Amino acid sequence: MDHNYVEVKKETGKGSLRSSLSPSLLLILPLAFLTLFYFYPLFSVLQLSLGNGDGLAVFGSVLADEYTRSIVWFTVWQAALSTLLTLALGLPGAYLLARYRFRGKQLLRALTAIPFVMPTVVVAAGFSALLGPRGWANLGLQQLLGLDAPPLDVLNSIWAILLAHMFYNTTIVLRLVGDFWARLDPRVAQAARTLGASPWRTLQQVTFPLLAPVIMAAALLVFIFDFTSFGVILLLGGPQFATLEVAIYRETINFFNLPTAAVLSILQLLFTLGLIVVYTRLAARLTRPITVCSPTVTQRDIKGWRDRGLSGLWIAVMLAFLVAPLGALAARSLTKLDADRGERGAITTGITTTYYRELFVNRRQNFFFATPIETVGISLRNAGLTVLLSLALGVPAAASLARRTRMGSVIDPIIMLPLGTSAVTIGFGFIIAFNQPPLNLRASPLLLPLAHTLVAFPFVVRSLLPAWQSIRPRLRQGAAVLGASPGRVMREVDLPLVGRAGTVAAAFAFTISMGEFGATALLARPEFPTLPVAIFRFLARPGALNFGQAMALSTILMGIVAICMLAIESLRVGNLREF
Amino acid sequence: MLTVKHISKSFGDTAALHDLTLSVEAGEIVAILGPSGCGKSTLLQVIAGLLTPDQGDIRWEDNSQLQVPTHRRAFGLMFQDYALFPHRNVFENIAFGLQMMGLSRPEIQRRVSELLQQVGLPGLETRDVNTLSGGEQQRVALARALAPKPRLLMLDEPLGSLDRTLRDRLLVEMRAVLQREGLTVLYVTHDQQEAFAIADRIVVLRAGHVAQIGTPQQIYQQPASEFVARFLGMNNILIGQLETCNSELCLQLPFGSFPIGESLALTSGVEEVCVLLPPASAELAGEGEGFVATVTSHAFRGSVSEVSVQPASGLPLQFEFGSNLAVPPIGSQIRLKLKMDMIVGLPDGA
Repeated sequence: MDHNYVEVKKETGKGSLRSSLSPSLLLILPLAFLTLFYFYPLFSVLQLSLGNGDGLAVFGSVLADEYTRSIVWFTVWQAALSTLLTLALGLPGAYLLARYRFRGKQLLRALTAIPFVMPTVVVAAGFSALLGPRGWANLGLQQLLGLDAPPLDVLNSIWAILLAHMFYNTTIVLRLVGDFWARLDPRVAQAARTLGASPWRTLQQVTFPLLAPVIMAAALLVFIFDFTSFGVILLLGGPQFATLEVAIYRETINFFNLPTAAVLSILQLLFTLGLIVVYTRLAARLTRPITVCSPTVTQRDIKGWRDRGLSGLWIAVMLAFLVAPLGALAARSLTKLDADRGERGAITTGITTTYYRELFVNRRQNFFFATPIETVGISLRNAGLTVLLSLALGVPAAASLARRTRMGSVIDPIIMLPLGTSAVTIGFGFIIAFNQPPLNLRASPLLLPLAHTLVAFPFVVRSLLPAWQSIRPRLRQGAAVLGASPGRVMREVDLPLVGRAGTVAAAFAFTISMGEFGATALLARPEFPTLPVAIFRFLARPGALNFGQAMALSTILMGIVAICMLAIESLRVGNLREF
Repeated sequence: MLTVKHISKSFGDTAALHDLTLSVEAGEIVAILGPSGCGKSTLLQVIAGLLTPDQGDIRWEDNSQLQVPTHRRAFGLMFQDYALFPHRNVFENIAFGLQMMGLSRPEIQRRVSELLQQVGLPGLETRDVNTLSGGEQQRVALARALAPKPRLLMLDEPLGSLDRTLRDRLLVEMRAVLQREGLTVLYVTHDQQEAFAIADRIVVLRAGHVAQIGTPQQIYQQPASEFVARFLGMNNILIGQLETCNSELCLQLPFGSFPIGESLALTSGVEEVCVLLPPASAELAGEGEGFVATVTSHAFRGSVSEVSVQPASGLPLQFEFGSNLAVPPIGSQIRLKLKMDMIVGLPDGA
């Protein structure tokens, strides 16, 4: 069996598509796209940051600025603190998922995938619905204690940022560390026990050292996500907090200080690429020989009151954490809790569809040119175009990389580069590069789909690649030997195998585009706001009606994303390991 | 000494161990022998305290160990596939148990190099364990298990993943090491040759039950049941009738009737018995003696030749003859005589 497997594996790479297109030909379109829409904008940003012939003067002055330093410092420490808190919540969970069997585990695992796909605006709206001044907790406490002002001041504080980051990234720790831990041979730890090590010393001297690389990798990935956090800081942190991302946005949109924004973008790019290089090195070390075995032998039932209590507590916290903000959001969109503007006296609280009905009304004082509900259409259209574009580019790229040529190994990291570039930087690059001839795309309906495609492209390639690599020449030969014509082979072998992955990739691209906020915040034209932009604007405006409409739109977006996620989960082969 | 008393352990609906009782005397090497899935590894894990039994007790010199956590039991366990710490080198692996005992650095160094000497790997202290060959890993694992001088050493299929030649060599070496250290040992294996070679006593396990306990000789010469006999590779198991012929008790088999000597431990008064004809229980007979059988195949096994024969009626039988004997060609008819004192009566239905 083993021998056979190795033999097959060697054959995988070559020959699968040899008869049709050559690998380099397939890469022309994807590389042209990256050159034009990734490298060219970044080059423009670099040019702008270097100023007009005065060398590094702009750079120097921005870097010397106290404000810049305080932003970098804040970006770093909030990311570090968020990472520590995420580990504190995630590591016990990883242990629980890795070493125990319990009812509802699959459901819990599926639920932990939610944050990974939820758009930041939805999460921000969720935390607002739960903890904001108009949220359930505050209004409930006000009612209960007869207070005039909201007692909880979580929103617009560092706590909101930390909570949201934990919400987002605990999944990464659970999946990365949990999956690794589940496959770690328990006999290694048992051997330590029989050699006289107490449970604590075993954890300290055997289990942790073995897990250290994967914990480091997970922590670094979490740190990268926290470091490049944009929507969470902008929407939940309020005006007093700014990460590099938020600073780039504000310099561009609020102060129109493009050279400063350019310098900050370059700074951000250097930081993230540096972090990613370290992460890649670490991840490579994870392949070091380690005894692994199937999770079925490593897992046991939860027994004893102590185990039951601790695991129950963790599951309860995790469930509350995952479900509460989103549940609060959906419920809040259908419940009237406080007075609208201009409403006086006793107000009737209760179930209402007002916020949804308001979405169809184009009020005179509205800041939209159309009804809010039309933003759903705008986002759907963008997402559709993004799917088409990213598949058109991702399919040939994956087909080429699947053949593991020497060139492919050089191109692969280049294709992954946009993943290491923050969305705000991409948006800013687009503003600088495509705002004037030769390529003025400012008014083009393709501008946002192009930016979204850039963000989605690495995910699409990563989803397609394994499926393509898994088609062994033998499968096709086998089908042919059994009498299938070439067309039939395509239909019976290639399509079912890549088709599923293609659907997953499309769903990924669609979800990313629907929720994309970083690049969109910079690029969306005022008259064509996307769904997340509309939610952002509603959240920023005063009044119960605006808040309610933000809740309603967020709930709609959450529903759309949830449907996509279900599609992805039901079609996915393997699990969320390759980020 | 170790006493395992009425231990039961189930996983869900499947019982891995059922009312299992055995003991190991100080300085004794006891082998647990059984096919895979008979509960051998579970038993070791229960004794080590890595699993809690559903019922029963584990005692060391009259003290129950059930409430003693694994790391305080001082029972060493060498795992199948060794479970070496992949993040520690050879020295650090062997030193682990000594560090847990709180020994000083020079003491640890002395003991580790002494052990490496013993297992035949001197000077390998700084090697990465991931680069060791299978045999080297086995020796390091053995050294690691020996290092803290456990009062009981348990070995779980310690040679299981090695090839035949290496196994034979390591088996001899290991026995020497175990005897030199004067350890009390519980040795789990599915290989009867290994068990015979290393053990003072053997416990044969079947589906979580004790099928037989005895010295290697007892087990081989007097298998307690059809299961034990078949597990040891003895397949000449027949149903025979007891009857009186020529005024003595005879065993009526499909291919003949044979007078029973004193030694055949069959309960009189029973009419039908299950008997085992061990491989060595037949010899070539002269004209007019024994019974006639046709040779169907033979295999050379070094010191013996294994010959399969088909008697006039009934199932085919396998016997061993000294390999210096000229083996009759396939298809030829031979006459065989049974050595009645070697024939074993087996309890029914086992």
